[in-house]
Amino acid sequence: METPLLEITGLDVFYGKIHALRQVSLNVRQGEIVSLIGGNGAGKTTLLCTISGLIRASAGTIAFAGADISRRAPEKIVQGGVSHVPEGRLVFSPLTVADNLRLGAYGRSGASRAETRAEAAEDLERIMDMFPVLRERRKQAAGTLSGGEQQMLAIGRALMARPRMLLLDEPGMGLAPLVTREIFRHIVTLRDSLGLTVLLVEQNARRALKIADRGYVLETGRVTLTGASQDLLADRDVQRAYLGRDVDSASPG
Amino acid sequence: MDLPSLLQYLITGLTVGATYGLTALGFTIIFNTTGIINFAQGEFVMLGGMMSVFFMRALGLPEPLAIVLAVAGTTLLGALVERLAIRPVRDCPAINLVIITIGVSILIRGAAMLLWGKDTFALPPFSGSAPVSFFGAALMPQTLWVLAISLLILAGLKTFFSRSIHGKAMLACSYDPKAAALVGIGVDRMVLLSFMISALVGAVGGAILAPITLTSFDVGVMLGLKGFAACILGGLGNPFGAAAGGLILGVLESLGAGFISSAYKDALAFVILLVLLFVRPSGLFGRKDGKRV
Repeated sequence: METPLLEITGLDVFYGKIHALRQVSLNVRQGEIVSLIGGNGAGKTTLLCTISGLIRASAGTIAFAGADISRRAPEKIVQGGVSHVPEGRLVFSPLTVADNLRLGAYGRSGASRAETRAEAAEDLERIMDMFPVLRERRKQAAGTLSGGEQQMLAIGRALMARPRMLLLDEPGMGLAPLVTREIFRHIVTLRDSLGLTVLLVEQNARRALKIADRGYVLETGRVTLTGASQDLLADRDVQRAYLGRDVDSASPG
Repeated sequence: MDLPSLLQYLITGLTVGATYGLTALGFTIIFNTTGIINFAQGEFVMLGGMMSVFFMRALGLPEPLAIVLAVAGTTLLGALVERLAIRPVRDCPAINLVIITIGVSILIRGAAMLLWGKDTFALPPFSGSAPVSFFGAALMPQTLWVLAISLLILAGLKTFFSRSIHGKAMLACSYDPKAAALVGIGVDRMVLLSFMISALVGAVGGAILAPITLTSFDVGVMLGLKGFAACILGGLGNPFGAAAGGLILGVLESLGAGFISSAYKDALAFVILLVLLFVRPSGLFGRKDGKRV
């Protein structure tokens, strides 16, 4: 079997004295969508931030495309092909939509600066084709966009770095169900058409598992369960804890 | 009150105010990328003037070259300050960093005193000292230099921040350092760059003002405080507020000195600052809610 694109082994992360991640191991294969589910404070966001270099692990390795990235600076990790769309989108509100997107390509280094700029301009067009609403609003300050539009902008900005892998943190947070569905449809399209690999964190476990190939369940910093999405959706513990289904009363015994 | 003397006060005020504005811009640039107030900003201004004097007198260099070297030297020092004093402790709370900058300012001032003594020095005006009569007021050619160069710097910074991708990347660091790092902007490099630009802008201000107000090892204290007052006046974090705040402060100070008494010249700046902080804490051009999003 081919080696996974992302392979995390024995990851330990501390926030001061709090042991936020304990011996977490996880892998994502090329072209997969993998969902990370778990309650508040389970360590999902911490895990994504550790992969993208915002937080340093105290033990364990993070191998991306065969190279250990666990000691790299965040900008080097982006350049290496992992783009993290953070929780709460974090768009640069006062800057225009177009500038937000252009900054997404900031860390990219091409053969020449002119070449990089031309490529970035091409990508900008492609991303605005993918999200027509961003084209419409390209001259508007990003802060004036609706939550769903900001999420598209944050994803578009991440794509400008030409990543091989996307880390998505709660892309549906605070959005109307219809908008969330559209965002999730885009995520699937990105995988299917661009061959992107996706690690997705989502509160809404059912929604996340529905589009994912596999899933991991994180509880108080540990991976407690992993498997194919259908298996997790059918798992009684997962159903009780994360899918809001009262298994016991529905089928006694 | 006659028109020529009013005009004279205005001109003097605008000239000094332009330097306050440049100092305030220096504060703003560092504040915007790091969220800290760099109290060594006044020392960058002092170094611009003092190093120019030093390069001219001790090394016998022509004035333009001396000034260029002084500005380059101060820019380099700005980079050193960031690398040696700020970066190793970047994760500390802002207040610790602010106190470090106060320490840096004392260190620079002390070193300047040891190197160049406590004397006051003058830099020759750039193009003679024969005043031009302007509606009855005496206009020194240096005044025009100060105003023109200040405007040029302001326009340069405006272009940098609104047109260049690097300028926008720097703004991005101020809006959200975490998101900036995640799109591949090296936040450390941007902070370094902001210290260099601030030092450069400050040094230019110091060099162009030195022929008018004289310079010594300790001019940075007052210039730094005035520049800070200008910053608050214009609304902290707003570059145009900073420049405008400097001009307003300079003009008010000059009018106060002319019509009331020059003894209260320095006090006036801080009285204005205090009144403004009571009445409008977010500054004249600051956001009213005072919330940084």
